[in-house]
Amino acid sequence: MKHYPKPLGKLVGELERLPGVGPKSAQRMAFHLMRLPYEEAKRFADAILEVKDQIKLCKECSNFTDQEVCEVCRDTKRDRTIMCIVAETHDLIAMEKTNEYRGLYHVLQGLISPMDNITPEMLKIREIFPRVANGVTEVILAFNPTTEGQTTALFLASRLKPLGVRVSQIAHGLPAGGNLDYADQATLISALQWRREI
Amino acid sequence: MPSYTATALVIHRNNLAENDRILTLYTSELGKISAVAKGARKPTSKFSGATEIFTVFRALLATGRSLDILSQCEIVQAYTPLRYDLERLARATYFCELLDRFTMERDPVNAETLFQLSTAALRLLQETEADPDVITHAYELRLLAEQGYSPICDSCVKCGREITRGQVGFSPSLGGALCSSDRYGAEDSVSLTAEALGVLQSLPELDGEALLALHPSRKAMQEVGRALRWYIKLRAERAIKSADFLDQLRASQ
Ligand SMILES: [Zn+2]
Ligand SMILES: [Zn+2]
Repeated sequence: MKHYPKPLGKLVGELERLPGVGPKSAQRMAFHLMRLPYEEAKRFADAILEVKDQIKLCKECSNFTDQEVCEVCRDTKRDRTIMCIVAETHDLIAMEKTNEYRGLYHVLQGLISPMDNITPEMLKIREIFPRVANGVTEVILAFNPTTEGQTTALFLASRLKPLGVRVSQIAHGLPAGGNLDYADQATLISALQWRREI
Repeated sequence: MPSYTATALVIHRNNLAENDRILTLYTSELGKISAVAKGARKPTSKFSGATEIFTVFRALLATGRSLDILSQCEIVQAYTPLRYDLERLARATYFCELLDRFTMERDPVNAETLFQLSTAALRLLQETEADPDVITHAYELRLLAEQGYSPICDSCVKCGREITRGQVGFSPSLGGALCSSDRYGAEDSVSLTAEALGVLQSLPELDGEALLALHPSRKAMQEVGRALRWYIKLRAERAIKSADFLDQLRASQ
């Protein structure tokens, strides 16, 4: 940072810490921000602080929200007997975009990752049980098809099934419109595993 | 760029930049190496599924300036059934972390032996109904033995006398078993029944069939587990993170 005036160096340093941002892009962004009109720069800075001040986790489902209870949880038209458990808010958004699912959600805020020391009690798992006791009869587990996703799904299934709820996991397999002979081996192995009778 | 082929077991992976993954591979040819799998996090990538931990693949790698680049891979064994059983999945994950902790990068000495040992342990975990902890402790002891870290279990680490029957002790810091008169002789000593000591002594020797025929009592397995847990932590000079989750699973059984 020694080539930059101090405040600019500080900004470059902060930007470099963002995911997927290297030193070159950090420098480009910093110069861009520096040249912004004062009002525009302030709007940007305020937006960051507003998110920090106002966004919290929904009391019910641990989704990000600016209210006590998020919009999905407040929606009275949703089916309250079925709950879809996802890792992150962006997974919830992806599921919502399907327009196929009208039940409740629960956001874990991460996945169990034993190698990274992320154990179940660090996630929003404890919060699931009172909700399930409150009339949920079916739980759908919708995680990435990774070792962490699978560990989390198996762990939750082992804890939820004894409570008498139906637990299912979304299928892992070929992308829609994909080509069988272009699919990688791991995807085909998993598609075989998830085959169903027709 | 010069390239080479290797048979590799994925033992760790980290995200890199937007779409890439950096893999730690244990290869039969070169020992532990790091390689970049470009685009592995895109759903359409030919690498996306192959780069999950404890997958074995044949790889074509290109020698890069700092990190080698994975250019092709063909799965040899995905150990798919292990991914549908929580107890076994957690242990397979732990095997990978253990192998990572007890090896250095690009140390080809022992590479083939350790590769065989690790894939054999995964295979046993997948194909047999045996107590997964018998397989786990056997793997731990053999890995330690190969790397020169075996605990001493046939003589007392304090007085050197041969260990006879009876209630004995085990001290992780002194590196092994304590005879019945010295069994409280170390600050960190834990007690072992004669059966648990017998398990510690025999596990490294047994393979396949013999291992599966072993049915130690629950108490003996708990004692062996506790002794090895602390011994390994001390020898690895740091905590084995995935062991915490394994402890939780064991406790809830
Ligand atoms: Zn909510
Ligand atoms: Zn002694």
